[in-house]
Amino acid sequence: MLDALLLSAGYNAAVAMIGATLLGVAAGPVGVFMLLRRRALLADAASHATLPGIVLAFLVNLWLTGEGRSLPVLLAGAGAAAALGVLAVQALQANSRLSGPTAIAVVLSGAFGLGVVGLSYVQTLPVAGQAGLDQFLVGQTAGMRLADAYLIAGVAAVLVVVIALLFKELRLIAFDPEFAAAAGWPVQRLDLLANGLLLATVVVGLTSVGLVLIVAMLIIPAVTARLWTQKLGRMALLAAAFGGVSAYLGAAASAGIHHLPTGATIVLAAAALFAVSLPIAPLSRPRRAPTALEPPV
Amino acid sequence: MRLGRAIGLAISLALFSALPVRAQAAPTVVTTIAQIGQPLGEIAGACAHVESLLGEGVDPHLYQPTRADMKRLLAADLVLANGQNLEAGLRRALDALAAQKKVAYLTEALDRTRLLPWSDHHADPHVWMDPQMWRDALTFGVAKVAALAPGCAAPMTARMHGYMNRLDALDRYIAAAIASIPAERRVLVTAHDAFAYFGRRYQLELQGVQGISTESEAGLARIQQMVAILVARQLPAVFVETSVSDRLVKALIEGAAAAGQTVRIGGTLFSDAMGAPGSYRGTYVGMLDHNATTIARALGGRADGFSPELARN
Repeated sequence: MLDALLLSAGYNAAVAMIGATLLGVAAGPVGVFMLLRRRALLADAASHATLPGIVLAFLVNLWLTGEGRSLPVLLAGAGAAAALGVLAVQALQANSRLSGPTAIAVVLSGAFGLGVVGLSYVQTLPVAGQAGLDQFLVGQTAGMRLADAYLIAGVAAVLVVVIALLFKELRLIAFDPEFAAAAGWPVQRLDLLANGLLLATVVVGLTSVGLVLIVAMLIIPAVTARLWTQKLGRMALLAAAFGGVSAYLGAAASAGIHHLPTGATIVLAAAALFAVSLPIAPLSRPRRAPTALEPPV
Repeated sequence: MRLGRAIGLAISLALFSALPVRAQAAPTVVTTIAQIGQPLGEIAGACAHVESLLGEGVDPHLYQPTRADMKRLLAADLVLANGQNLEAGLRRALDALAAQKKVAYLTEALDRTRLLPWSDHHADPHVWMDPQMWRDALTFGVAKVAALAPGCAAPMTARMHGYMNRLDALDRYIAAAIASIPAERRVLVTAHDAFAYFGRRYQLELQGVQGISTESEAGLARIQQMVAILVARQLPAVFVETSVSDRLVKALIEGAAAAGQTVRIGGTLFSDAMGAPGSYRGTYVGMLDHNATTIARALGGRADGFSPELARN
């Protein structure tokens, strides 16, 4: 266990720990902006919408090239489907009486149902190479290779830089989109960008922690950070730290102790940080207004 | 008069011999995995219509029945499954059919002491990896089919004896192929533990990353342990399976390379699913032949293939 914490449990453990940590560092701040825009669950809709995208990309690729599984193609399908999922949620909210969470619930369950039907159709096809399609559900962090870690590092760097450069703009649309629009800010484009950050995190997280657990990496560190501070800058930094630390500790535990699945242990570590924060953090108790998990005014 | 009796005899003979066939059409037998369906189809010939639900590259641990599958299962005169919870996703469908008493589990016909332990409730389901055990399981399946086609007992028995002789010859071929691997390298590294019966029969040590079912996720500790084994034993090859993702196995290769041990993918093995229907590797004999030949060659043994189909060019 000590070896693992010091990155000396071996090559595979080191690669997976570094890759997962970078993912956690990037997902934390992205989650903060989703949380403050009351869109924490949008990540859920986007990640579940990737499943039909993956299956469809597999089928189209199979039809065009005779070979279904190719990671770039599957991830492209996942990204496109996640984007459609987010757009569908927004269209439902804008054009119907459904509230935000309801619209998300409809898209999430609908897309996931479509994905499961697709998986069950694919398994009836007499083709090889379909093995592992369902592994996007829980991912396989332990099987991370150097190329995966590089991909995560690249995407994480882009995410962090974009958030740092556009911090002021993102803060504005997070707290007061009406004011921002009145003041002439391109709110719609900034919104699109914020959603883009979310999609990038979801797609790059699919291969390593899987579509169910990436949601946890987006939301839990952000919520934990929200318990500690009211200041957005600090909150983003804390979320990055919590995300990174829980990924590092979770992966180290999985490397040091037998029979601990890596992805799930990372999420447990993030949840443990939240549970420890809850009784001691300054903003845990509900105040009269606003309540703890709503945007600070 | 004599002519009349002769004609009468001929007519009655024709009537009686045709009767069982005309009275009932050939029964339909649906099997879950093709490791049951393909040999049984070969042995049954025209006496029964045998089909398998699970196709090439399909993972039986995770397979969920479609509506069309349910229709085929319901219409079948007999359903033959492996059992020991191999068909976990099909279990409810099979339980429902069991009420009509037409489901039989091949592994349940075997003596419990011959099965390898798995969980508290079930034994290791991958029995087909040992042709001597699968031979007995198939014999039970053939008896079930023969009971539905009573007029067919003789030709089916004849074909069964032919098939079983072939399995015996295959068994001898595999034993020789695996024994030709240098003793210290007789280790099979795969993604999941589907080869326990194969390993027991042919004295091959097994190291699977994922455990017996493909549903469990591997931990980093296990990956590091496997890399250490590859390096310590200087194993030249690891193997991927058609019905399991190759992600973990590729991570092992990268980890071993970082520790200075060159490991390659020794080939693709058939573990839970067979090859394409209609091809040699899509038969039970072809599947085992392919596995044994691939393993022996990759680990430094000598194997020319049980069938000329697998002979090296």
